[in-house]
Amino acid sequence: MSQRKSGFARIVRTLVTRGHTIYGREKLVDVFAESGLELIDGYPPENPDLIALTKFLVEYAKLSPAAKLTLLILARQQNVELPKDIMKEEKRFFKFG
Amino acid sequence: MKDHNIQAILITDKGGVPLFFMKLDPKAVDIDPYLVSGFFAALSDFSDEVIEQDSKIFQIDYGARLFTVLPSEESNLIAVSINEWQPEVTPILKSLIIEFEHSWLNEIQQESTESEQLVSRIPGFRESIVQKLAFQHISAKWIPFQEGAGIGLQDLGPVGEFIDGETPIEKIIARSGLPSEEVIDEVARLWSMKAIRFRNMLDASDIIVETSNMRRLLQHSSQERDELERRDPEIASIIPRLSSLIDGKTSVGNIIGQIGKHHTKQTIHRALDYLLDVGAIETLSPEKRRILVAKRALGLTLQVAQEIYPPSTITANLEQVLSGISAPEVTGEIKIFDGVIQINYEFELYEGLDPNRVMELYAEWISTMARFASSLEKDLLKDFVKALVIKWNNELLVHFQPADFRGLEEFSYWLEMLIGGEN
Repeated sequence: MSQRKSGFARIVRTLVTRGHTIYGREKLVDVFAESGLELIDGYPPENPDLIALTKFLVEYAKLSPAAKLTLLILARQQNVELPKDIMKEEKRFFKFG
Repeated sequence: MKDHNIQAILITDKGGVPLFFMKLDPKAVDIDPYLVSGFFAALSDFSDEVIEQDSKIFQIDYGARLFTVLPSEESNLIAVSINEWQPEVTPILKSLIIEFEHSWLNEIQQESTESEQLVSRIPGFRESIVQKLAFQHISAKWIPFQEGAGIGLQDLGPVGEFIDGETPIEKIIARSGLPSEEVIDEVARLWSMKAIRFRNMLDASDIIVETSNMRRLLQHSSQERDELERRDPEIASIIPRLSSLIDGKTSVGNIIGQIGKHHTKQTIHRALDYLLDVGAIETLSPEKRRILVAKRALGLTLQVAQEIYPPSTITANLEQVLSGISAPEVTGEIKIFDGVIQINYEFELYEGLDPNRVMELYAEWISTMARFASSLEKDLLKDFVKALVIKWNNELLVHFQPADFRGLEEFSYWLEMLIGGEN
């Protein structure tokens, strides 16, 4: 697995665990459905698809600005770059907000 | 030889008495047997059962460091590591603890247990460890020098003749004509045998802080300064300039960049080596680096809050939050005066603190941030976090190393809960 992919997979696994207590199962299942990432016993599979992982992160970021902050921190810890789409909105906010 | 993230290995008897200690990372200056047993004493309270149950291996994550405990028949091996555990190291550690019990334990039981021996006893076992585990983070820029005069050059092995206290490892490699791996292994072996130490060990990304020993070097009339002025006037003159730049948040690289216009890099490094040697400065330990990140994070959070909310409500909220915090090591570092909030980034308050306390304090800083966020008016909370995302992304996350951010996510989880899932 590439460093990016394994980093993303770790972030997703952390978010699944913590997201449950923050948003509840239902909301999280929505995020999974939206991203097309399949779940095995409530967790992402051993060798997940990079595109689906990326989509999951993009969808998670939409939950709230705080969710985005969590993603930024976890990505830094894993030393991986987040998908570009996640910070796009922030630049807009910065410019016109 | 295996690469790994282990900083040190401690072996204790079943009662927790340290029997053997060895550092594997020369830069981990803050690690000593007492620190490790200090951590271990705290964790053994709740893990006694686990150890007795003869479990194979268990790990305790202290945030900045990971403690891996391998219980064996008569002793426990504790490996202190940073970052992620590498499973392929586990069998090596198992073989080491078996070797220890079979071949070396008897030898130790015949001696008395004095702490000095703890870090130098059973050299045969040390050699064995060196052969199995590569030494961490030995940089080619470091300059090895002989410690004490007891050992002759010929006893220092094939690289001995090149160790003169001025030649960095990279030049030793070039001059000796030996393969670089062999030179580094040899240097590591000598260091583990306590025959040599290193100079020039500070990296550009290191963050250093002053200790109370610095004061004497800055006082014109002190004996220490007097002696230094006689011995090395150049260093004596540079130290006050250096000291003014050592604020606990500026990296070594930036300090050198700042002062480098007036002094050569070598002189600055020589001064820093001297300060390290006399214990007037120290590199921040992983625990303290995380606290520094938490302090920076709080500082930036307060800045953003003052931009989004009326500044006077922010100072009032912060006063309120601080009155509920019981840790003086946190409240004493935050100054509110005339509507201006300042955080002290130095670490003098943390000198001599028990490592467990330092870990608790990290949690206190994060909790202070969380309480402050909870005190904010809900209507503007989303705007506040949006601005915080930009601020942290530009001014916090780009600095420091990945491992320094471990635990910070607890604060953003808290924000996620405060805001909820509705967007």
